[in-house]
Amino acid sequence: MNDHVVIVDDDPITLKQLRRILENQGYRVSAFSTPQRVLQHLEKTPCDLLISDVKMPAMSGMDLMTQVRGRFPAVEVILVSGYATLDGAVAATKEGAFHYLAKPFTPEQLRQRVQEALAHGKARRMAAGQGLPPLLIGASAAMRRVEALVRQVAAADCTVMITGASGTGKELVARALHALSPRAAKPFVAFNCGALTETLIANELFGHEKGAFTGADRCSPGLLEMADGGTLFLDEVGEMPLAMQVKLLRVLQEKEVIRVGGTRPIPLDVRIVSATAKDLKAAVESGALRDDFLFRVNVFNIHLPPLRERREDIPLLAYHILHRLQRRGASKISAISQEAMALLTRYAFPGNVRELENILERAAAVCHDEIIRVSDLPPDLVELELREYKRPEGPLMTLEQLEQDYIAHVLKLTDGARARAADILGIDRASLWRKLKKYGLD
Amino acid sequence: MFQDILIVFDGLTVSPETLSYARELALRMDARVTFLMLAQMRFMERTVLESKRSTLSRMEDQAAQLLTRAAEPFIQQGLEVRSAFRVGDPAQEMLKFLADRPPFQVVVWGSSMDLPPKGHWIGRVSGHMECPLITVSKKEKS
Repeated sequence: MNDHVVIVDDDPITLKQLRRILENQGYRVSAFSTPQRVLQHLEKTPCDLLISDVKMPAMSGMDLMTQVRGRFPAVEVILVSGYATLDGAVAATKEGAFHYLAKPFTPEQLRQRVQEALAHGKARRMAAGQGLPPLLIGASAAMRRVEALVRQVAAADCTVMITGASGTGKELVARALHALSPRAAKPFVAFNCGALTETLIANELFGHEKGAFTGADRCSPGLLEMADGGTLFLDEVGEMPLAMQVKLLRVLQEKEVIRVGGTRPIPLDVRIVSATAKDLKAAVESGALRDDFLFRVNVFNIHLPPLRERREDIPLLAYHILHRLQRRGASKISAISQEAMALLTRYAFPGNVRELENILERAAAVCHDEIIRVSDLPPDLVELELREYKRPEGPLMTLEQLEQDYIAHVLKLTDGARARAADILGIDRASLWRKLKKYGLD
Repeated sequence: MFQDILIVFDGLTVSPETLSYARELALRMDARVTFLMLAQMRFMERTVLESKRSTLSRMEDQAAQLLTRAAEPFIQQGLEVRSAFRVGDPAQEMLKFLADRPPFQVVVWGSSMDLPPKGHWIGRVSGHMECPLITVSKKEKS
C-alpha cells in the first residue's frame, strides 16, 4: 500500500503544488488548510508523514508537531518554513527528531526529504516492533540474502559455518539457525574456542569422569552432552588446536563422545554450528585448520558482510539498539537526529555492529534529553574520515607515474617547501625543479 | 574474547590524530592495541652490521621513545598496549609479524593523515591481510 502523506498549509497555491508533486510520486495525499482539520483527520486515518508549514494563523507548525508527536508518535513530521534564515525555534529543534525543508524548495528536494522521512519512520517502527520484525536486523539486500539462507538451512540438519569479520553478529545468526530449526526446544550451547589450551577445551567439550585428573572429585558432563538434542555453537573455530580438531572430528563422525578419563561412549545428537573471522582457504593452506575437519563442519557456509558494506542497515540497527536500551531501562532516548544519523551512516565501523552498539550506549549516557544529537557522538566521528585502503588495481604503474606520484606526496608532506622535498627525495633542487616542470607539478 | 587492533607506523613518523582515533576505537571495541613500527634498511645480505650498527642503535632509541610516548595515553585509559620495532624490508617484516600472531580485527595506518602513495609497500601487504586496513584523514569542511 502507498504511503499516506498529510499536508497542511494556509496558502492554497503551496498546498496545490505539494499535492501535485507528491501524487505524481505515487503517494496517497490528504491536504488541509488548518492544523485543527489535520488533528481530526489523524484521529480517524493513520498516516505515515505530516508535512506542515511553520507559520499558520490559528496554530503554528511547531505546536501542531508537538501535538502530533504526543498523540501519534509513529507519524514522521517535515516542517516547511518560508524564512530564508531559520528562526530561533526552528534552529533549536533542527537537529531534533523531525525533518526540515526551507522555502523555496525544488520538487527534487521535496521528494528527497519525503523519502528520507519515510525511511526514517519505517526504521523506527520496525525497530520498535510495530512493523514486521526481521529475523536478523537489516533491510539491505545482503542481509535479506543472509536471512533467506538462514531460513533455508535451519530446517536441514547439516553443520553450518558462519564466516565474517568480528562484530558482524555471527552468534546472532547461529541463534537464529537454532531458533528456526526443529531443535529449537532443546538447548543452544555456545563455546568460544579462542585462547584456551587443548586440555581445557577437551574438558569443556567432552566433560570428565571422576578421578580423571587431580581435583576431578565428581564426574561432569561436557558441553557436547549439554547440547544433546540441540545446537552447539563453536565460536572462533579457526583458533581450535589441531589435535582438538581431530578429536572433535571423531565425535562428529561417530556421533558419540567419551568423557576425559572415561571409556564408555555416550551417544550424541548435536548439530554443530561454527564461526570464524578467518579466511577459511588461507587457514587450511597455512595449516591452522585441517581440511577434513573443515569439510565436516562447513557443509553449508553463511557469510556475513561487514557493516560498511550494508550502510543502509545502520538506521534500523541504531533504532533497534536504542529500543533495547530503553527496554533495559538504561535510556530514555527515543530518536536520533538527522545529522547524527547521517554521521553514523557515513562512518566505516571497523568494529562493526558491536562498535555501533558501543557508540550509542555512550551517546545515550551523555545525552541530556530524548534525542541523540551530533554533540553526543564521539568527536572522531565528527572530525575524521576513515577509508579502507584498497590495493590499487589495474595495470602496474610506470616508473614515471610512480615518480610523479611520489614527488607530489613528498611536496604535500613538506607543505610545498621544495628545498626540504629535494632533501627527502635525495636529489638537488635543480633536478626537482626540472621534474616538477616535466610533470606539470609546478 | 579480546579484539586486537594493529597500528602500523612507516618509519619513525607518528600521526597524533591517527593515534587519538585509534585510542577511541580501541575503547569502543574493548580491544588490545599493538604498535608496529617498521623502518626501512637494506642489509645487502651482510651477516654483520658493520657501519649500520650505530645507525640501528640510534633508530632503536628513537623508536623506543616514540612508541613509549604513543602508548602513554592508551595505558592511561586502561588499554593493553604492546609494541614492536622491526628493521629491514617493511613489507616483508610486516608479513612476518602478521604471520606470527593471532589475527587482528583491524589495522590502522598510524603514520599520516594521508593515504600512502601509489606503489607504497603497504599496497603489497594489504592484499595479504585478513582484516581491513584503515586510513584516517580530516573531514573536508563542507
